[in-house]
Amino acid sequence: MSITTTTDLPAPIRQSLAAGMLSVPTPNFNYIIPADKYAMPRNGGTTMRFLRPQPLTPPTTPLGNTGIEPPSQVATRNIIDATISFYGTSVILNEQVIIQDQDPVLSWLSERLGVAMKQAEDAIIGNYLLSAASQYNCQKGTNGDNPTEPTLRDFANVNAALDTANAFKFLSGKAGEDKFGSAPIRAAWFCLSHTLLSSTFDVLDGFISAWNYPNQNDVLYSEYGSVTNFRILTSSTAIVQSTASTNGRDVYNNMVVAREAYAHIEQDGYSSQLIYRPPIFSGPLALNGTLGVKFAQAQVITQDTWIQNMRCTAAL
Amino acid sequence: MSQYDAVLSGSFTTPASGNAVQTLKLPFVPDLIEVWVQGNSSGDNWTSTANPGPVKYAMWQSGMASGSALCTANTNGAATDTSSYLSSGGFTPVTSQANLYGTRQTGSGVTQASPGVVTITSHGYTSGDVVLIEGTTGMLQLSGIPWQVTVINANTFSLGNSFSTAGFAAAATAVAAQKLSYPQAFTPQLAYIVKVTTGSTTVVECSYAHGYAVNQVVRFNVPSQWGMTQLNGLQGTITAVTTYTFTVSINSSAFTAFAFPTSAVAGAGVSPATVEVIAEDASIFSGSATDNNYTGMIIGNSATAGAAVLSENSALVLWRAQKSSRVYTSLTS
Repeated sequence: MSITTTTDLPAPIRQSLAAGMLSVPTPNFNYIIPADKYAMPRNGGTTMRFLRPQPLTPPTTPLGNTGIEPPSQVATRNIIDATISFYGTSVILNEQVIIQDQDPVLSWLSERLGVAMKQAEDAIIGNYLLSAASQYNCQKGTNGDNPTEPTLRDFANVNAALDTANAFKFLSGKAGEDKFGSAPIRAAWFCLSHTLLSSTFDVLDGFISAWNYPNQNDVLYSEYGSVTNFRILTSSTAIVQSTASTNGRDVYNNMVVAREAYAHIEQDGYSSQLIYRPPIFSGPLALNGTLGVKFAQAQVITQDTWIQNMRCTAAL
Repeated sequence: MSQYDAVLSGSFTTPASGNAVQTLKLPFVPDLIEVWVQGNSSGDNWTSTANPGPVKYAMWQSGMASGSALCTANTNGAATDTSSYLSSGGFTPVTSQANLYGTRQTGSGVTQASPGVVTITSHGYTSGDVVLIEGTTGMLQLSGIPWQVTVINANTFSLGNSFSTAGFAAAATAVAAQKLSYPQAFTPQLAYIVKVTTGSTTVVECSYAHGYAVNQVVRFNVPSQWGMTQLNGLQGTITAVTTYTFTVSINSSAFTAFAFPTSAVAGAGVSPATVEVIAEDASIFSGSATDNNYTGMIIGNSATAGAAVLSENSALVLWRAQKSSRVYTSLTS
């Protein structure tokens, strides 16, 4: 057969794959960032147990000169437990895909599985925090809803609550520098927010965009800016409760967290396992391989006064 | 069948009374599920006069609508059974998520009575559901709190442990509600305080079944608008529990009363009064932070024979669920 048009080209040269796969939209995984990382030992049971000592009463009263021993105190500690769960997923890969279509398919599937696993880690922590963290409803805004949009006063209220609870900050402040438009940044806790609140933050009194920091040292990839003592990280997968406000608008759950507020626990040797089973295991014709990922995880709030779910709606 | 396919089977018996939907928690969302209903407590559930009567066999396959089923139902007095298709009351594949809310429904209000009664036409809830109440114009202090509901009829339900709204200034003239699909996805979880009884020990009532246990340590968050500010921030050990209440080792005899804020105060913005488990006794693990999410299948129920897969009390139900790596959807000649 004579070849007179491009449609007559034989199959092998009718298409060529572009080098490399196209980008995959991937959210920021912020909930994992402030978590304290722990690993349970292998064969260490199903539960990670944390002990949190209760403070002793400071002995501020003079002992006097009677020689009588003062009463002793009872030392106590809180016991906080977290139970490990297992998670995983896999994909099935037909050998014809590799032979006829995409030779590096195992590579990009490995990447996708890894991202899926990290996203699962993050989502599980976020959902747990939504269920367990104490709540503050923003109430100083003017959008007429409950909760309202976040205001400087709301951030200040939560700021004061964490400060009063003597919560640890993550980051030291940034001193002002002689750069036009920049402003000093306070020592900070994190506020884990949604990307849809970006426009709300842009009109928030006291908000300093990350690009208006005195310098870009230690600015995180997902960092949008700062207000009072909070560095705001945004993600498109932050927890939103659909139509859950008084007026039926979406409620955003901003987790304001201090250092050591919650823990992410993996089981030693099982934090992430990528499993490949070649087609030979699938049957007599060895048609299908599998590629999967599995991991073990637990999460728990370890300092209950060092985290608050600051709920808000968006500004009008 | 290849290594990638899975079949699980089992059985359960429906409750002796108050039959309800059944949830099969499985390690996968099935592509195919079948059930065989083998009779009621008298060993014979085919005496119903309904036509079609109780379902004997039902199946659902991936591609069918969620909540549907293809059934074989008993036909009263006939030698043959009836085939039927259920568009609801069938099988609903489920992957639970902590942050999953149902459709927002609006209603006409909440009565100022004991218990307060919410009116939403054809709400579709069942007793025990946890529902977020919002937009209670005139009674805004109820808004933003998830409540366990007790269904009165198809259009009304009460809140919590027969929660009384008689002391509020006015009835609500509007209401909106959203069902929390999986309120216990993680345990222990935050609970919402709706009543506190003071004394040498303190009894706290929550808006829904808290799931707490004796010897767990809880901490209270009581914003100033809720009256009992002395309780805010205190920790106590639980000494007794009921479904909605727990007793905690805090002497509240001298505390000011716990009271819902007025509607006007709530409308101006208020955070809920809550309690959370922060620790537990060394000998128990009930307070261990646990992920209870699951996948599986919900099997529908109805009090009307034939209207759902399950309708009989004390019925033995055999089930088989299958997950296939590949589902062929086209015919070849």
